[in-house]
Amino acid sequence: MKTGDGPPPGALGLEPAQFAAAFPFHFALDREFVFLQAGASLARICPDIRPGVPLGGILVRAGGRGPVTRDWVLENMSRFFLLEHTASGLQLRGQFVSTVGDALLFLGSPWFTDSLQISEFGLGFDDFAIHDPVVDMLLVLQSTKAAVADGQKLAKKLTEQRAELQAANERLRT
Amino acid sequence: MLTAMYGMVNKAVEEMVCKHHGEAEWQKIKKRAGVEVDVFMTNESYPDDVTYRLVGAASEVLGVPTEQILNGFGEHWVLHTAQEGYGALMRAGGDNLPDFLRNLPNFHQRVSMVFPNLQPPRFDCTDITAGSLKLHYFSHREGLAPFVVGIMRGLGKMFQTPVTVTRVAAKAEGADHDIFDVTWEPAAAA
Repeated sequence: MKTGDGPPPGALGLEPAQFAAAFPFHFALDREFVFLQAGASLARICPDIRPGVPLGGILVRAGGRGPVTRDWVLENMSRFFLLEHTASGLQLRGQFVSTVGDALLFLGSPWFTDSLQISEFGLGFDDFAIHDPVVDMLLVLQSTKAAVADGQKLAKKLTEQRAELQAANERLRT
Repeated sequence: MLTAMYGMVNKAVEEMVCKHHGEAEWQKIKKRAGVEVDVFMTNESYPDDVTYRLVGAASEVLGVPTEQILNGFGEHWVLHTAQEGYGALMRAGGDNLPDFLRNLPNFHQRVSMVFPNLQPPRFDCTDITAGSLKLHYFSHREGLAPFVVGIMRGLGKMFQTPVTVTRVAAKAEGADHDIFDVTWEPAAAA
């Protein structure tokens, strides 16, 4: 069912500017593994990722698992990738998709294991695409941390109260 | 409608009272409010009623009007409670007051998705200029507008940007929701 002059179903994609806004941490590599482009947020905190620069050792596999090579990427296209920016230590989690002219696009976002990291890397909410659930995950991480802190506080209070009770019992006995 | 509030809110009341008036006054307030919770869990939900009773009892014990308690409570919330619990995320919300306020609606929406039973308020910013905006505050809870005013003042202190907050529409007076005029010195916010 086609209405008016709208596009036919399934025909929509993103213009480069829309794509850049939707994936502010993306980057693209040509077949020689030279950067073609980088999302605005990625380029700001990883200034060595810029068009014309070879990937080299700028990004490596997270956890010291070796260099990022085209062969490794192509062999693992169906998996998610965890990359590490050598200079800053920022981890990027996402996927590669192949696109025109044998270029590879990385679509992903920073990966955090602690809510403090967002500001440690100089990032703010405005650096993330609105659809990106990373900010929500930080909220979950932070609330877990708060819950643990509450538990510790409660345990401390109970221990103190028990000591007081025991002392009071001792006094009653003597 | 029975709804629940973040333990963090009650924790903030506790911290504020203890900081300015001491633990003994807090115990008096808790007793008067009939609240027997030892430690408020940050992300646990408590009936709204607990917060209202604590604020009411604080007003009576300390001899300070409720509105003033809620103002001070909002400031304390921003400058201490939220800083401790969510400092890293608050810094990520913006480097200056206008950016932070712009992010506030999305942030509260994220909170409501992660903690659906807490029903946090909804905010909206309109009429944004270099030195002002209109903050729309949607809440099913009654009487917390002075808390929002305190929060705005606290944010002004946090960003060292003096703010003026004026309520221009009040739900209590029949408006659809509360609207605040928030103004600041554009130079100070840069």
